[in-house]
Amino acid sequence: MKRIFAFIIGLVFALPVTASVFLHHDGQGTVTRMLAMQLESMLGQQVLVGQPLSAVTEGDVVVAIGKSSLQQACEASKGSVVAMFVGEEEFRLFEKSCRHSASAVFSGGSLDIRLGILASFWEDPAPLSLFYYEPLLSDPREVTQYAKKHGLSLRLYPTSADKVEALKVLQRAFTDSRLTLSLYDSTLFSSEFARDAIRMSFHRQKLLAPHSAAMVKAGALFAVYSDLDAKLNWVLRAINYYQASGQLPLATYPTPLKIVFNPYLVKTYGLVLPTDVFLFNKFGVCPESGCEKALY
Amino acid sequence: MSKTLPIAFSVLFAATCAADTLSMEDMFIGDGLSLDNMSDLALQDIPMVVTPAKLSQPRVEVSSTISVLDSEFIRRSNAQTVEELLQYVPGFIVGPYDSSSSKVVAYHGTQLDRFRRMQVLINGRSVYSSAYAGVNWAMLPLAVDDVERIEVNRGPNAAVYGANSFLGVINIITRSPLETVGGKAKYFSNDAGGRSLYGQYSVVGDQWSLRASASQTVEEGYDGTDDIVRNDGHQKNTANILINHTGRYSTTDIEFGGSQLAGELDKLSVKIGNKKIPLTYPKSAPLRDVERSFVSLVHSVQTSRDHELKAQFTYEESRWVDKHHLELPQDINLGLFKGELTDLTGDLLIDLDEQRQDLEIQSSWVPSSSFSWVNSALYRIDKAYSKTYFNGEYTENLLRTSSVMSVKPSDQLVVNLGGMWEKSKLSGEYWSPQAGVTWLFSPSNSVRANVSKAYRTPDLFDQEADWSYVFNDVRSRSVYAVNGEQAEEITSYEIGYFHDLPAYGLSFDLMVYREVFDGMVVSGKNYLNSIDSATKQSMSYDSTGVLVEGDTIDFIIEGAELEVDWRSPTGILARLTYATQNTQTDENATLNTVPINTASVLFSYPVTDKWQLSTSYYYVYGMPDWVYKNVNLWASYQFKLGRTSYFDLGFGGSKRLDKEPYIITENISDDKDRLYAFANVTF
Repeated sequence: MKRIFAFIIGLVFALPVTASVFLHHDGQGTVTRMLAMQLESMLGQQVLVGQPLSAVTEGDVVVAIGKSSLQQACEASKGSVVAMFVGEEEFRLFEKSCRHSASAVFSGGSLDIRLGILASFWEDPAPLSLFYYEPLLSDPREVTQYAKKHGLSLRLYPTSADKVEALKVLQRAFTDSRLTLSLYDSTLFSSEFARDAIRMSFHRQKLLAPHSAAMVKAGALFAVYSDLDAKLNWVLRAINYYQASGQLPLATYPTPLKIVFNPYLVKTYGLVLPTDVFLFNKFGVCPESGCEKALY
Repeated sequence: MSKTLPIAFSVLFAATCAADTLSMEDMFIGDGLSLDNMSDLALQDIPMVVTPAKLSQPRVEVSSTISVLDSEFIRRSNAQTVEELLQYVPGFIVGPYDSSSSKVVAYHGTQLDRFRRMQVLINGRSVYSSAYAGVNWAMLPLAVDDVERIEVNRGPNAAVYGANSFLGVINIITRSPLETVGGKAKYFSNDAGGRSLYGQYSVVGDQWSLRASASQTVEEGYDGTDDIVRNDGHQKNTANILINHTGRYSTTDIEFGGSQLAGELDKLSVKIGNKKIPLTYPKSAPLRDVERSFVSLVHSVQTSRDHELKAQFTYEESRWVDKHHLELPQDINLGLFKGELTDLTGDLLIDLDEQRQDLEIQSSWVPSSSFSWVNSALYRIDKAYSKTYFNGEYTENLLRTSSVMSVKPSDQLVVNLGGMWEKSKLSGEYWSPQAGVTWLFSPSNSVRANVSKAYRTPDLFDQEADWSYVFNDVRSRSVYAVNGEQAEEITSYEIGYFHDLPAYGLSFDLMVYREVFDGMVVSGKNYLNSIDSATKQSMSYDSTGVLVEGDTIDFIIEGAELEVDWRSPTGILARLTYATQNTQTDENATLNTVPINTASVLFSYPVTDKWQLSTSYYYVYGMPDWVYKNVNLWASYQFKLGRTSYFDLGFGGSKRLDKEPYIITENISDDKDRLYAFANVTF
């Protein structure tokens, strides 16, 4: 009994001090509170919301929501940063400016997987377009290699953040190909720009393969995405891991990833889609209805 | 409508199916994008495209025959006018009639001088003349660079678009501010004096956007020969402004514009009896002066996930005067003006003023992917004023309702049904039904069958003509319509096959048809013949008379049409069309207007990223027995001035490969070859 008691006392002292968890979101009060409540119930500890970043001390964790919050947290906080609702390319761009360690659960799907899926049903051999905010791709050749690997040809259409220029570049991308992909990109894709991009694709009768399930529901062709539960579970594991080891896990996509198609565009363009089982086995993505459907 | 087709309902459907299951992921696209404003997207009006059912349908499911000229094709065709583009639609003939400001754009011929058997819409706005039901293509307030897409329903579709949708429906969709954000300037010139200048600028805000454009086009017309002197060129100026507002559940388009045309005309000669009397023009050749303007307001509201309500109001007016300053022979003074003219030198004016107000309300209900139903009601007021044709003003009222549904009982079968009831003060009531069936072998190929009936109802001039000519304010003897004309009737039977092969960038459509015409007016009305007739009957030069109506006949046209479109991975764009027609009648008046064969080819090849080489060919045979062959070759080079700024420079030439007139005997030139150059800057 004495030995057991001594072990428990030792274990308690051996664990690192529980880090404070801050949730930082630049705006969106309701959404922030909702996320904080969900994270609190999963973590079993208080999640601080609405605190200034200066209140974050070394050893704390800041969960940053979105690109702007990530940028602010990286530059101003003394704690480690876990980002949600950022794209892979966005995170790579901003992680260099972080004062401390940073990780992220990426939104959307990797371009490699998206191109692989596209290659499984897109028969038109004409080049595809990739429309993106120029700073996001440090090595554009890398993405053309992805395309080549999947037997596709990809033309790049970089743009600045200026809306007029972005619309012109997107217009050009639509002119040059039947299908244009976009990256998870909160610099360009404000709600107005997303709306304009979809309207333009209707006018031009071209297809857009965006980074977001919401845009597919609004009229784009398909997207790879993850739901909130998958992201929060990843964040939970990351915080626990940090509290246990003092280190953050590597930034990655959550599992499972899901895929959504616009059935009406599929019908309109006469596309023959791969089966759920094929998509799961080859790319690890599940249908909207869940992985059970793909597996059984 | 190609694959192309559309998409408004795709979006609507997708939203309908999915909105309930949006996850938190959907709340974020990036910073600031929430579930609320994202779901707006699903509920916004997406511009409708023409489909036979006035609904968005995949081309493979459509029961009628459709051709689409998309934006890329339009830009690469190097066409200088909108009507020129229609050469690339099977079965169309396009060219000037008796002047460059009087164009023939006819599908399956049947009439050339005032072709009036087709419905033409610009952004849903009907642009045919109420006075004689034709479309003045050269006078439309529209430049080819304003056009985003043209969709042509080949065959009657009165069940959806009304009585004048007799041989076909052409829907022209203009470019939106979004597609043209920034500016563009373009210049074209050829060695015969033809030229065009175009400028456009668009701005886009969060909810409001605006597009403004202006153009000037000069067409040189035919040169004539040593024996034939032509005076048939024209200059047209246009200006258009489109303002769009995109709201939470609605969109509004306000569009207004106008055109002004100044044209030359050939000098008149008058045939009285067997004697042809040339008229003398002491100062200048005759001139045409036309002004046209319009305003259109379209508002659409998404009332629920599966229902859209749309209202469109249009006001349009035109003023047309042909002015002949001439010396009238005394014979004509005595014969036509009862000797009342004291001064035989003066102005002969041919005038026509028109106004149209049009209000249409349309309800589109799409409760499931296998059923859709569109209902519409239209009320139109047409006013025409002319001293020449009506000796005053006439007002016509028209009420029209239509109902069209598309049902998909299985994955393979699509049934399209529709009908339109129309009532007008002028021509009474008509009912135009339509039924079509499409069988899908796969998502990319289908066979279709369609039966439809349509009427061309008599126009104002048919029924209310009081025709004379005004010289120095003195009206000549008039002839007037008494019983008018009966409606022309067409019953069309079509079978078609469409196949899309995306792996090869290839699609093709083959259609065979049989069109049965009843009561077709095959000869134009003639003022002098009617005067002759009146004179003979009354034995008096003082009398007015009854307008001798055109002859009517029944006949059948059978034929086949092929359309092939190829877009290669390397950027080659190729289009081939072919049409052959067999007209079953002995009447030369009809045979001479229906070509036996027509064909067109466009081949555009990007040699490098900067150089592009293109060629086109247009062929018409059998109208009446002439052949028209025109080949065109041009090259262009693109300089990149910045990320979104380009300067294109090009040159080329066209050559007529025949030595014959086209459409009418006077349409001939000794020198039929042209060299041209063009430049445009986009910024």
